Amino acid sequence: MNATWHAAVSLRVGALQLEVRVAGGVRPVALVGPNGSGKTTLLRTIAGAYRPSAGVIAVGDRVLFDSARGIDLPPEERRVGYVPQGYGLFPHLRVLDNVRFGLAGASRRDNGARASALAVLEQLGASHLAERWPETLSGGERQRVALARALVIEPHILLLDEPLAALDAAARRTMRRRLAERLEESAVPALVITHDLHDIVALNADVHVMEEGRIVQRGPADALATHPATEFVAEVFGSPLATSGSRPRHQRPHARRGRPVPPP
Amino acid sequence: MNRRANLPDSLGTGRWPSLAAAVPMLVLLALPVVALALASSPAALAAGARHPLFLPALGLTARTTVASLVIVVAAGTPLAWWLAASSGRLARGVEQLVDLPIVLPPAVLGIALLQTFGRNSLLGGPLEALGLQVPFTTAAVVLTQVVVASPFYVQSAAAAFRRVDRDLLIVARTLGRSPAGAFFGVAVPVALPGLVSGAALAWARAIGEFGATLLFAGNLPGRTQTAPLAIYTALESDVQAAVALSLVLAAVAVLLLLGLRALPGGRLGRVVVAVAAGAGRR
Repeated sequence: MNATWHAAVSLRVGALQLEVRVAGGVRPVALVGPNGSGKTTLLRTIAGAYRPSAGVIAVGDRVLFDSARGIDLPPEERRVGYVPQGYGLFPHLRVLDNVRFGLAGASRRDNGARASALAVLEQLGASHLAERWPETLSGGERQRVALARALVIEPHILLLDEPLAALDAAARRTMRRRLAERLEESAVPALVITHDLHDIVALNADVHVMEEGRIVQRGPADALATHPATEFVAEVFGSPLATSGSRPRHQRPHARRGRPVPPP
Repeated sequence: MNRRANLPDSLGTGRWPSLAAAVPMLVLLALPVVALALASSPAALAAGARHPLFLPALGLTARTTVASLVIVVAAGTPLAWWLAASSGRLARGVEQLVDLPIVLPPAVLGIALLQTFGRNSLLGGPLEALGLQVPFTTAAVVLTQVVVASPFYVQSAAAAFRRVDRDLLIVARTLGRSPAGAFFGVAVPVALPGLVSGAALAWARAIGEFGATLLFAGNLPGRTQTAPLAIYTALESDVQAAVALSLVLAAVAVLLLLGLRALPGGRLGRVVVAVAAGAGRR
């Protein structure tokens, strides 16, 4: 794979010890794992909210963090588009002001910033929401606004924390397709936390499975389905092997650590 | 926002007996206000307002409470932010310290302030060497108000800051804001209803401050005689002046209370936040 970004970090946050290596290209990377496995912490670390005790984070040709070289860019210089779980819209600002928050000189009278913010909203089919307050938006609308706000700074990577989880089933199907199209058009690499196999397939994502602070398996979804390294992978990817039998451990590619599939 | 818990009927059966049990207390809360309102005729009130104590005391209360409020907000906001972000033993200790003036009797506080700033006291000696005397000055009035009012602001502001979603701040940083930019651009506006209600409570407490002021600052007309002290003084000579002053203070208090109720989440809250957000944008 032609990796355009990679992160190899060690850090401790509370009781959780993270030892993670992730890498991706223009194809989105889906980060899958049980609750508490450290997925959100990894996203926030790449965004610059946590400082690893050791490691390297690089996006394109820019090094965001390198403990050996003493590099640690603050979040405002990382050019990452972070969309937290629940979307994190600023409740005190109208949609348009949310989107242009990241543009320099985001004053009410700055027509350049206004135009760029409107253009991004337009691309996401959300320009009619410009004067609305976040609390009046539906889940799908919030998601589009949050994505617009992240894209307006022309990020080098998008970090999306469960971008579809807050939506009902119907909205989820629509938004999943739109998100996939949007990511493909923008050609911005993305790291997407999700629990849903449908999201992974629609996004054509490369999967990294995280358990207890470590990546236990990586690869395309079908490979994970046929050769699950852990019980969790088998459950998520609906592998028949989980119930009908299991190959010897050494035959499973990419298996690293985690609970092995129990023998039949 | 729905403030009431909608209890099922089977659980709500105790409602009327509980209200009935509270009636004596409610009467006790309401009667003095009614009595105060009925105590005076407009003519007597006008006469009371012309009493020589009236205007200087109100003016002094206005000046000193605005000064103490500015100090409380300026020093209390960073402290509240720190408290909201910290969970260690030190933070809990500081929290207790901040709460102390609420539980300390005002008279005790007045004595403690005298022991701190009075003659030959902890700070009094050094200050006197510089030619500064604090007790029985307007500065003492302001200091006392700062001490008694700050807990109300700091606690309310810390609670408001704790409710600000951490992710909002991370997003603000990734969108190019410095830590200070994220604080003023997101944390303060999002927490603003809590900050304003805390400031209003602190202001109300400062306006009403009596006991510690009397001991530490005295009761000197024009210098340390605030409105509550003027009421106390007027009561000995001119009851109507005391009632007139009391009505003014009561009106201010009621306005503050109504403002507080209207604030969080309501239209006024939205306006305050929008205005502040507009002012905060460079």
